[in-house]
Amino acid sequence: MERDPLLQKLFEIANQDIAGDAFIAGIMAQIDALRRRAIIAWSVGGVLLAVAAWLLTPTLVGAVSLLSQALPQTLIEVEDTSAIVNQVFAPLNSIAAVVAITVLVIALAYRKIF
Amino acid sequence: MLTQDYYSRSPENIVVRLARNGDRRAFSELVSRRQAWIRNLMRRSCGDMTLADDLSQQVFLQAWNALPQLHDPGRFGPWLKRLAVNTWLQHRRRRDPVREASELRDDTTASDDPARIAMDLDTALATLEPDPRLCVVLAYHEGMTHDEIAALTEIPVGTVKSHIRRGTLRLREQLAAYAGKLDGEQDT
Repeated sequence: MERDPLLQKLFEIANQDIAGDAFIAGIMAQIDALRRRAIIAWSVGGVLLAVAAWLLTPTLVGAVSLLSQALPQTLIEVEDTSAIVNQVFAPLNSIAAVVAITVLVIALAYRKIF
Repeated sequence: MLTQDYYSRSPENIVVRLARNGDRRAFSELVSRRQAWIRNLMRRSCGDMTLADDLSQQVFLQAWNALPQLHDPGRFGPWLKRLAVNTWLQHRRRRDPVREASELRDDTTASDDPARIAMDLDTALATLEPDPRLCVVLAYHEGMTHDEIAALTEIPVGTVKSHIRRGTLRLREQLAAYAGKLDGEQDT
């Protein structure tokens, strides 16, 4: 690429060495302010999360216990549990299996559509 | 703890690695090394010293935030230049489109003072439309090729060439007073 020598020279001369102390100090002050804001935001977020967890603990424990009781429940009552067919399908014969399969189907359909 | 002397003597890719890990003093050293280059680039691009310094500050703040995403510390310079050009392009998009190229001036007299030369050059550059101006600045200030400018600014290569050709002619016309002076200096 050909460049005009006169303009090249003028650009070189105009390329001044600019004193940067105040400029650098300004940038570092802004970075410090950003860091302080981030620390405050994380601290406030952490405190809020801790308070929310403390307040919601009884509800969460209740929900988890309810789920742990509900999910393993069988869908179809089987009389002869020793039959081979029943043993094969036993892992699918629960609320947990239905929930897992539903989530998988929704995820696959979502991937197909979008 | 590392001394300031360590930062100033270290190669740039080492300082970039330290800054990438959140070392504030390493980043301060990087700003110190690159600030004149970025501020000059911004001054040539926008012609307004205050605005140029504001935009340069934005560039370095963005650099601080985005530094962890820079995978190759050896590419810090080109990466910073891309940030600077993008910052300028974004500013231009936000700006009131009424304020565009300035009128031609025909009273430029040649000077020996580098600051005055820089001012005359900025005044001449202000007569160009924003895109040609950016192409000319990247070609002359940064020494970039047509293809590099096209890739950076997303302007077609043909348009870049034409911007630089026309921009050069216009600047030559504006800075004609310097032609004889610099030619004379070269003869002696």
